[in-house]
Amino acid sequence: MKSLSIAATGMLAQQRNVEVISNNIANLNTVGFKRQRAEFQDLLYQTIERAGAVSSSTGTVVPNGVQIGAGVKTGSVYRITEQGSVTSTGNDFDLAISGRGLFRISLPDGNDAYSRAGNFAVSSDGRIVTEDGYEVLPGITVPDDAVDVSISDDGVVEARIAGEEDLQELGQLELATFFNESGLEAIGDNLLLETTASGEPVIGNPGDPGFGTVLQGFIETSNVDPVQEITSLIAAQRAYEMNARVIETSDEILATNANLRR
Amino acid sequence: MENAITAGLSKQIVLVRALEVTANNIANQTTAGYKAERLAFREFLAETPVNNSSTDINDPFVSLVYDPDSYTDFSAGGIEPTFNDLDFAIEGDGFFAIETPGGTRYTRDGHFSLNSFGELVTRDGAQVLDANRSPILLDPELGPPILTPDGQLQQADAPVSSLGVFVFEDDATLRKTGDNLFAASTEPDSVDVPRIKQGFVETSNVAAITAITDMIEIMRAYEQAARVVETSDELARNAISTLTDQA
Repeated sequence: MKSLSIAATGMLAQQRNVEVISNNIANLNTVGFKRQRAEFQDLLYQTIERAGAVSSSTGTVVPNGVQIGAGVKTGSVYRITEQGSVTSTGNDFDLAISGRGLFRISLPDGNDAYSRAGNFAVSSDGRIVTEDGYEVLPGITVPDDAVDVSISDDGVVEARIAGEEDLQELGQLELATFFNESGLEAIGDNLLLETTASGEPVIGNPGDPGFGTVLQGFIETSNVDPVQEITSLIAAQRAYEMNARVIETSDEILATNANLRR
Repeated sequence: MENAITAGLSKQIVLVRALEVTANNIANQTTAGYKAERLAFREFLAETPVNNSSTDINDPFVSLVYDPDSYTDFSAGGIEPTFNDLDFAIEGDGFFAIETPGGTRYTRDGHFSLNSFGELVTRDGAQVLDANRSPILLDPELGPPILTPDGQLQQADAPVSSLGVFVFEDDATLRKTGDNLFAASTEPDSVDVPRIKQGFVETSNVAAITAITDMIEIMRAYEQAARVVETSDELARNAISTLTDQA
């Protein structure tokens, strides 16, 4: 009874689908989160009668043949890098990227990670760091006597120092873009890593051609749309149920067979 | 008597296969660009064995059923928004062409991405072809491409490539190879002005309600066939017991 295993692949796929959707819903309020989507592919086909086989002595051929599929598999779960909406927080170190690009973050192990989450803070020694205390590259230190910090559209960080008239330039933030942004690997904590699929990062400053700009005092919210996720969840659940019905039907057929000889 | 059992059995074999086809359709109801598969049933007339014929049989044939071919229903699926700039759905006829290691394949599943060289590829990394059957190379530094209504891909307001859409004289010559791809035995023609939507994918054309009713029908038909087998078995048993009683 192949229909049993075919329906099982369908149930597995829908289960994966529900997992992806529930992760999206769980991250509804995660800063800089990009929603994911599961994509499916059909499995191999078993050819029972080959198309083009000769069907009679007069040379007629079978036009289609019989092909039976083996079910479905998860092709990929990819991130949709659509811009999330931008919310005002009033915090000087909250930054939202409008357009393309990711912040570069230095991990404790020396590697670089990339993130759209711009809810930064200042560490005890004045460096601009992420929520987890990882330094935001290229590394900008705010002096302790700074009264006010302003960050321009193109990422230039300037500080007003107590008792001084002119703003002091502290540095310029960098952004990274990738050939294939959805090929980045998520490691949790809103961080992404470079992979061979994503390609090498292209580093530039905000506002450069091909790069977005930064907004100070705003954060980018997650791009999850609750209505869309809930409708997908309903569809996935129904699809799961239908696959379960196939298993039931196959089971009934097997029961009919078993009861044939009384 | 054996004829009734054979006829019932032939129906059961076909129905089990029909359930497999329906199961595969249901399993793929959320597969982008999937096209439903159907089985065609046909009557097969088998000549009854001569030694079995009593004089009152007018019809020397017993009617069996078999499934000579499965065919693909190429009707369009729905179009679902994904908001991904590299997802494309074809409106109307036609297929995207994909260069796989096994040769050119065709698909209605327009979920693509860029590889690290800037080529437009499928999720398996196979190149998507333009109208001239060459790979589509984009400049990744210019951001996602914009699709014009006539199928051209533009970056920074300048055309860089086009998405090829190919039509076949007869879609029935296409054969599924898995991974949402079709292999072709004939050469398709390229569409001059394709209608493609960006940010959408075509959903599977499996209709949940017909799949479920198909399944119920298969189930009931299977029970009926089993009843035929059962009844002829009973008849045989009755005959044996009646005849032995009289002896």
